[in-house]
Amino acid sequence: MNSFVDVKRRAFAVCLGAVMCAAWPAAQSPDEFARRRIDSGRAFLRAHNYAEALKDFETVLQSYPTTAVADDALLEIANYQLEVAHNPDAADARTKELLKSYPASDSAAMALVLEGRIALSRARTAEAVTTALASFDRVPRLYPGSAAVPASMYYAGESLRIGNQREQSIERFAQLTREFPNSSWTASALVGSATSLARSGQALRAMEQLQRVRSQFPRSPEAAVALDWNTVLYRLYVRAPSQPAFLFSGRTIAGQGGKLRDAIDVAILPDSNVAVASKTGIAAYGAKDTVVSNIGATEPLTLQLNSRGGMITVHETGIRLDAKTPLTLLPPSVEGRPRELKISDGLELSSGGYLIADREQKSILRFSDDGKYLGEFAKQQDVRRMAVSDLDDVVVLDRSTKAVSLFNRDGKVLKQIPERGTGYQFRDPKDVAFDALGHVYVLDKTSVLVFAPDGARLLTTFTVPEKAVGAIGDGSALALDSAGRLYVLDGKSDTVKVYR
Amino acid sequence: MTKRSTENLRRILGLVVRVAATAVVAGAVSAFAQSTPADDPMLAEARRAYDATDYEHARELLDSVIAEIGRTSRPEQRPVLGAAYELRARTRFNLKNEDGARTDFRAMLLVDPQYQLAAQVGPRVLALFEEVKKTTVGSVAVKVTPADAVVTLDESKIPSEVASLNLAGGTHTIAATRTGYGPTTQSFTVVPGTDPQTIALVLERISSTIAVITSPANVEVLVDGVSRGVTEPDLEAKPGASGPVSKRFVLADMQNGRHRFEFRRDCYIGTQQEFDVARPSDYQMDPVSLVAAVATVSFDANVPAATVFIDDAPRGPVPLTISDICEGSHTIEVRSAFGRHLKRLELKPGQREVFQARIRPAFAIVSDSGAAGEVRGGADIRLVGEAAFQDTNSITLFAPPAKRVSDLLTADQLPVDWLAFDLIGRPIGKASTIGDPARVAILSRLAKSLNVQGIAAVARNPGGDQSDMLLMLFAPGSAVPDVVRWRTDGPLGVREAVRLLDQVPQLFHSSIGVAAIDVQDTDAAVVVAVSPGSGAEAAGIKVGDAIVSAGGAAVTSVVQLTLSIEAHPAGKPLAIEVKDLAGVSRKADVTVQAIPNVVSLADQALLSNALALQYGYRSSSLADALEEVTVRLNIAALALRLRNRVDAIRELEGVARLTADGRVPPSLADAVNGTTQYLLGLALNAEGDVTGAERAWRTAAQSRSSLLVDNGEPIKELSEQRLKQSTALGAGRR
Repeated sequence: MNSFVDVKRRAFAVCLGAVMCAAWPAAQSPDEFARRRIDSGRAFLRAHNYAEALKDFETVLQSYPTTAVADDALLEIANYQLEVAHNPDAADARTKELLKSYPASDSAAMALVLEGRIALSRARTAEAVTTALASFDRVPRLYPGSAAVPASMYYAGESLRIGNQREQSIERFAQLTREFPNSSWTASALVGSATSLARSGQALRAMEQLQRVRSQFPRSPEAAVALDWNTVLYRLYVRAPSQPAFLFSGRTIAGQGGKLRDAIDVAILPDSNVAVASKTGIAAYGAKDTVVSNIGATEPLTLQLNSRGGMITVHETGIRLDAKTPLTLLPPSVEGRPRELKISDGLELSSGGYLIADREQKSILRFSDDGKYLGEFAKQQDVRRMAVSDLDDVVVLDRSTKAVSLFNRDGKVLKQIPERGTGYQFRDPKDVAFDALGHVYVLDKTSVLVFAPDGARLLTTFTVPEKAVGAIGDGSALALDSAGRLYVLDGKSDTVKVYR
Repeated sequence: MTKRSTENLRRILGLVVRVAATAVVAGAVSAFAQSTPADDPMLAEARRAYDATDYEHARELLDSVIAEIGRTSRPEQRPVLGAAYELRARTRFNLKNEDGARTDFRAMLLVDPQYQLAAQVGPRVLALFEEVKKTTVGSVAVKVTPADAVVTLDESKIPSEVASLNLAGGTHTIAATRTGYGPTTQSFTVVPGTDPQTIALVLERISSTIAVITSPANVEVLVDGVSRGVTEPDLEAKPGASGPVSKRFVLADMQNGRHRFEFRRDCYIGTQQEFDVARPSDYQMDPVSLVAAVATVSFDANVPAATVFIDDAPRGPVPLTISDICEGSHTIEVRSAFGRHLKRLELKPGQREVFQARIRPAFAIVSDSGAAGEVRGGADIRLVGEAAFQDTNSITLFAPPAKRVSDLLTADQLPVDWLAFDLIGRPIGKASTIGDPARVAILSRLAKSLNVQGIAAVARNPGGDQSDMLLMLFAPGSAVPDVVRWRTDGPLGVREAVRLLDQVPQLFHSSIGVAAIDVQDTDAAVVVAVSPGSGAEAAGIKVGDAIVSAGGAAVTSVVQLTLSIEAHPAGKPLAIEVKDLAGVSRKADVTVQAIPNVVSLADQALLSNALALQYGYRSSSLADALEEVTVRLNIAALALRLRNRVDAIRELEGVARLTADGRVPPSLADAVNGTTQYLLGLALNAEGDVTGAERAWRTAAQSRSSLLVDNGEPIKELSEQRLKQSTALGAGRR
């Protein structure tokens, strides 16, 4: 009996197995499965679930290296390393791996583009720009007709723009818009070209190009940027001088009790909230002018934002990243001992590194990302405030001379805006800022003066009559949002007033 | 009796004799004349001699006739021979040569045993003839069954039943045949002078016959799967419902049993039936009528002067209805001088189709670059391409018959991949061994021979999979193809390609002469530039003005302003409301102008060849001078892109003449002229005419307008740039 039962059990198991085998779906081809895995990874990327995305891409690479999408997986990883992890070395390794292992693949062309971008992310020196350009220029030669060609043309223009070779960048962008007028890269090129045109004093052409972005690519992210930047240009070149460039918007951020206590600085966060720094911390005010978040900070002197929108609080003895993490600075040695810094302001360069204004020595020092001293950026600067543009131009307000100096990223003086000049005289300048197109804004107690990007001329002076609504009583800090709206910390009313 | 009376009597008797003899002879002559053929001249002369009683001379003549006919012995001479023998026999009889006469009568009866002497022959001659007849011929009666058998006697046809037939003595052979019966032959001997014998033949039935009449005629008849022939028309019969009826079509040798009949004719619905043959007999099927298998197609076109073609044969101008198109596969087209619309239809009997043709410039697909050869027994890839792109609205793509194309290209001995290009338009394979001028010349000749506007080719995308294809398009004079990528593995694979082909730029855009922008916190379109000489300038619009309404509709953005302007007819004033920088409102009427759009010189995605044909098509129906200028500028720009500078220069010089003649609205003259001169400079420069190019650019540099190409860079700047480059190059050369 037992043997009979055993036989029956075994037969049943075999049958069950057979049924299961018959029901199991036919095996997919490796290519098909790899394709699905890539799609999964991209879906995770879009959801910002980077860990899972990388898992998918790595699986494709390791398990399906000979499929048609293995190169795509490698490209996605390299992109992540550069754009999300900000790890150019890791990105570079993966890019080189792609170019070596899949030189004739569709992704190889984009890998060359990535190579150029990696070079630019490491440094913005003339050599880095030349190296990056070489990578970009290889793409149309080696992979003509590839989808990477318009991308390479865009980044070539960007490299030249970043390298301050404006005419060449405008021409490169123009070439892209002529040859690929319907490519999404054209939207980016038009925006890039517009900034160069604006900096070159060709505001009208810049406005036309930005409007073309809105008309031709209305749903692109560049369309929103174009609206903001056209608004800036409109104020400065169309509305002014016959009309005031700004009008009080009616919005005043006052905090609890109608006053912002001990406010010392103001900045506009990437989410458009208004950050007000005080002696005790940083409060972020939302659209309804109520506090939406608070970060504790001990007696910051100034509040800065880096190019990624991260907060930097500057203290007398150092700087804190995200308002929390102190950056250990290793200042130069004096007589064998580290120099004692008395910091008045600091900022982060988009190409990496920090500038720290030493009030004691009246100089600006350059430090690396990890706080190592790299050298002197500028001397004889009694820095009250400084600001940095997207091209790492630096504007410095000198407390003593009341002059404003414009430096390039290497510390070379581009322009001196003296205390007095044609059409203006600084009374008590308190703050400086750049807008997105490089115009220089100087907050001078009750007025805001706007200078051309090269600092060569005053474009407009904005002031509100003393008794009028929105008048600036005693401006102590200034910030601008992406549309160039002014956010003035008025020391007299202890509020932030918004002008548009 | 006196001597004189004797003389008279002798004379009278002689006369009587002569008269009697004459009468006899006359009678004989008249009798003879009835029995002898009149067209033999020598025989006729012999007769005359006989009538004149010149028997010797008659005999000599008759000897000659008989000898002559005896030599040639043609059957049609038999009646003459018989008549000659008869006349000689009578002549000999008159010459007292009875034996000779007897011999001749015998010969005459041997020639024609049925021979009968003329009624007026003298009794003695008649008696002699009868005597000879008795010893020369015998008589038989013939009866062959069945009566419709074909009977021959000594290989001459005779009726199947003869009551009495004279035959020469000797052996004779009678043969009889009839469909369905076994043939029969019988020999017999005729003995002259004996009683008539009866020859009776009965044919044996060996198979059946089946006869059928069809309507129409010319129907192929198949029996048990084997074709037995085609029915012939009976021209004397009354036509049936389906057309002329046929003669009786007889099928012989039908064995007993059931047979399957099939009746076929092109353009008719075939029919089948079974027929039982129970026993050998003659059968008659019921008449078979075939129903016409035709379809009806009604044609019309979007242009006049278009002609309908069916399978490459012209059928008449549109509109047209054709009701007799045979079932089956047909290529139907409507063609005009500027294009065609083609469809391949599988028509069924009774089907009714309406073909509303949209004439479009046509590209003939002449090459598959060897793609089909890679798949044994595969479809003509050119036809696959034609079917894939049948939904394009802007052009017609079709594959002419392969043999026609092959014949046209035979002399050039071109390799199979002579038109293969890669995705970015570089010739690959053997195509790279053919220079541009040669290719352009061949394509031009092909287009002319095929009566098409352009030439196309398909090829596999190098490095792609089996379904990854490229379509190459060549306009006349073009050295640079459009290359469009598509796939053969489904409709989605061609959708993007069709979309690209159907992207046809607007000829004009409307403008009031302002550049406007969107500004944050401002519900308006803000003016940042006003074109000199524009309607906006004339209406006093200034930089900084905010346009808040146009055409009665609120304007809160530049897009809305653009839509209002585009919706407004050109040349008419558009009511707009503006607020100046101080916030003061005012209204103005601004004339909307149609501004020519000229295609980009640099856009890599532009399908220049396809567009060149479309603009060429447009040039066939121009509304006014401005449209002509615009179309020609576009044709010139496209020609420049295609490295066809000759055509570009020709078109630009044409535009320049139109502008000089004042045919362009004054407000556009500067822009048109500047654009024309700038493009002319490019074309002349490419042709090596540096002096001409610089002259054109210097003229262009005087323009205050923006180029009508792309997004309108200032002509002055562009021209000055070119001049600078040209000067630098010139200096370098020196």
